[in-house]
Amino acid sequence: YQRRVRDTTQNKSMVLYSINIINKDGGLVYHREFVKSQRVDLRLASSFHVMHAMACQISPVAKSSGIEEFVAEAFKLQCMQTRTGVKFYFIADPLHSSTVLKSLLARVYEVYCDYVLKNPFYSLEQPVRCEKFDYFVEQVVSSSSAASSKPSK
Amino acid sequence: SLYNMYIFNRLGACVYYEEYNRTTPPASLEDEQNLIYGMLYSFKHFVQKTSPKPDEEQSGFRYFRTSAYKLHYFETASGFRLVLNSAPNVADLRKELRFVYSLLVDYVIKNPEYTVNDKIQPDVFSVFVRELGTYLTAKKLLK
Repeated sequence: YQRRVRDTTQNKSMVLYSINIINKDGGLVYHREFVKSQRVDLRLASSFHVMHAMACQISPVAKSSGIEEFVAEAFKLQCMQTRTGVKFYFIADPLHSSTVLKSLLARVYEVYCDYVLKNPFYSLEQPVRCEKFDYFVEQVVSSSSAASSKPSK
Repeated sequence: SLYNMYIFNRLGACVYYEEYNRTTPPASLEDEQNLIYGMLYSFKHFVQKTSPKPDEEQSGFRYFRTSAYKLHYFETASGFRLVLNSAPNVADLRKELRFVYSLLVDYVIKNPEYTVNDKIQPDVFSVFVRELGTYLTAKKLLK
C-alpha cells in the first residue's frame, strides 16, 4: 500500500521532455518534444555526440562505453548506443528511474527498426520522417506514463 | 571503488591530481587534464541550453555514468572544479565532494604559504593530502 502511495506522488514528476536520435556521424535524425518549450537548440545533439565520445577517452579504466546517464539539477539524460553507432537519448526529469528509461529506449529502438529501417523509402543516416514511427513512439511514451512507474533509485 | 580525482582552479589548470585505482594510465597526464577541463566547459554550456529549467542550473551537472565509471562533479562560485571518478555503481558523491572542497579551503587556501591558483604540492600540503585520505577511507570509498 505504501509503495503505491509513493508512486502516485512521484508520478507528477515523471516528465519526459524529449527524445532524440543521432546517427553515427553525430547528425540529429529525429527530435520530438513531449513538453512544449520555448527554446530548442538542435545543434546540441552534435555537442552531445562529442561529449559521448570524450567520455570514452578520459576513462580511468579500460574499455568504457560513452555516456549512458547524465544527471544535472533539472534534468536527466539517458542514452543508448546501438552497435551501429546510432544513439537514442531521452531528456527527462531527474527523478525518473534509469531502469525505466533504459527499457523505454529499448522499445523505441525496436520501433525504429520496424518502422524506419524497414521502410523502403528511408535512406540511412537521413532525418527520420515516418508517420508510423511518430505514432508508435507516442504509444511507447504514453504507455509508460499510464502504467505506474517504479519509484526512482 | 575510486579511480582518480582532479581539482581544477578558476583558470583551468589542474592544481591537484590523485590516483587511487586506475588501470589505464594516459599517454600524457597534462593533455588528459586539459581535455577534461575542456569537456567540463562544454558540458556546462550543454546543460544550460538543454535544461528545461535553466534558472535552476547553478551547479553545472551532478554526475555522468558510462559502462565502466561514474564521474562526479562539483563546482564552486569561486571557479574551483572537483572531479572524482568512481566505479559505476557508486551513489552520488556530491556531499562528499562538498566536504573535500571544505578541506581544500581549510588546509590549502587558508594556508599563508599557498598562492591562489598554484599547483598543490603534496609534500608541502601534506596535511591536506592526509586529511583527504582519512576522509575518503572513513566514507568507505577507499580501503
